[in-house]
Amino acid sequence: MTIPILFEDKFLLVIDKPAGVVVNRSETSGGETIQEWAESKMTNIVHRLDKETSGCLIIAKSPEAFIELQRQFKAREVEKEYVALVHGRVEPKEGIIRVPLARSRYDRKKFAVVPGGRISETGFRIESRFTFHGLPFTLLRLFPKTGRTHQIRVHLKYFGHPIVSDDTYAGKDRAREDRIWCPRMFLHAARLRFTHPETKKKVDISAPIPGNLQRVLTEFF
Amino acid sequence: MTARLILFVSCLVILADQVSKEIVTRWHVPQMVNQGFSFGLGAGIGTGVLLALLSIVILDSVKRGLRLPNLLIISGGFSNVLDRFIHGGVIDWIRISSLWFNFADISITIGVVWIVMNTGKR
Repeated sequence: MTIPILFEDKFLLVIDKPAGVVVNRSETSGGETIQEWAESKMTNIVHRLDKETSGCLIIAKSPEAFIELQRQFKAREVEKEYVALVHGRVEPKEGIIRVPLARSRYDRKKFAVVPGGRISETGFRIESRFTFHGLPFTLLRLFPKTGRTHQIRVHLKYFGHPIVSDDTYAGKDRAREDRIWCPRMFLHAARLRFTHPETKKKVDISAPIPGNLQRVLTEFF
Repeated sequence: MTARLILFVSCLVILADQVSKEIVTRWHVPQMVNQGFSFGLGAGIGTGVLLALLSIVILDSVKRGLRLPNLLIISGGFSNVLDRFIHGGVIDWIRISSLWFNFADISITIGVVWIVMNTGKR
């Protein structure tokens, strides 16, 4: 597996995870995972990205770096920035979504807004608005403060603006139609800002929007 | 309208709105912190025209003695502005489809509808 590396030193590396590659090994995941790739290099994955999400993923090269980076994620000190193309015209231009999240009672593979669930928060800012075949779409920058499973996808679905080509949350029919012009879920972890575990200096890493998503923006919008 | 009634209506709108927002925040009720304008109004020319028209209608209604609807608009507006200082944005927690709003927005809407329905009547 060829994984692009965005940053590397003695203590950590930040990769540009391709879409479609599973991060953690599980009974259901087929094919090579990022975890196997990392373990072959004697390194440890610090956080997670969904299979269909691309972008920045931090991998620690020492137990000390791993513990410190996990602490930063837990303390919400890591600044995360995502890019997503969503259905509909998002209003307002800037805001924060705060909802309690838990595993769905109706479909255990999904997460949902559930009273009494774990609090989750995502900031958003509109990048641009488009119309395609008479339907409105919005390109968003997202800033998740917490890191719950499927957080951004559930937040946007609950907000009434599911992510383009999201099979799980946009609805099967809609996602099938999306995939005619957008081959994968339009969610990309574009930027990470954190404190280096050893030097204590700010590290700011960006992952460029992948070619297949960039093509969607240039060809259709 | 007496000063006592003015004070009562203003306090009622602001208190109901602020208390509801405090409860929503503490109990983790789904909410959207709107860091733009209310009801999705941006800072474009359309918004300027709309606000100018609204100001004319409000001034006209004041002349005609329609004080209560104006009070609803001002109290609701004040409560939403207060949010920006307390929470960094307006807390919207009532949701119909993809429209999010709060008690202050309801108060403003009632005031506006009241004035509009009375526009032209002397």
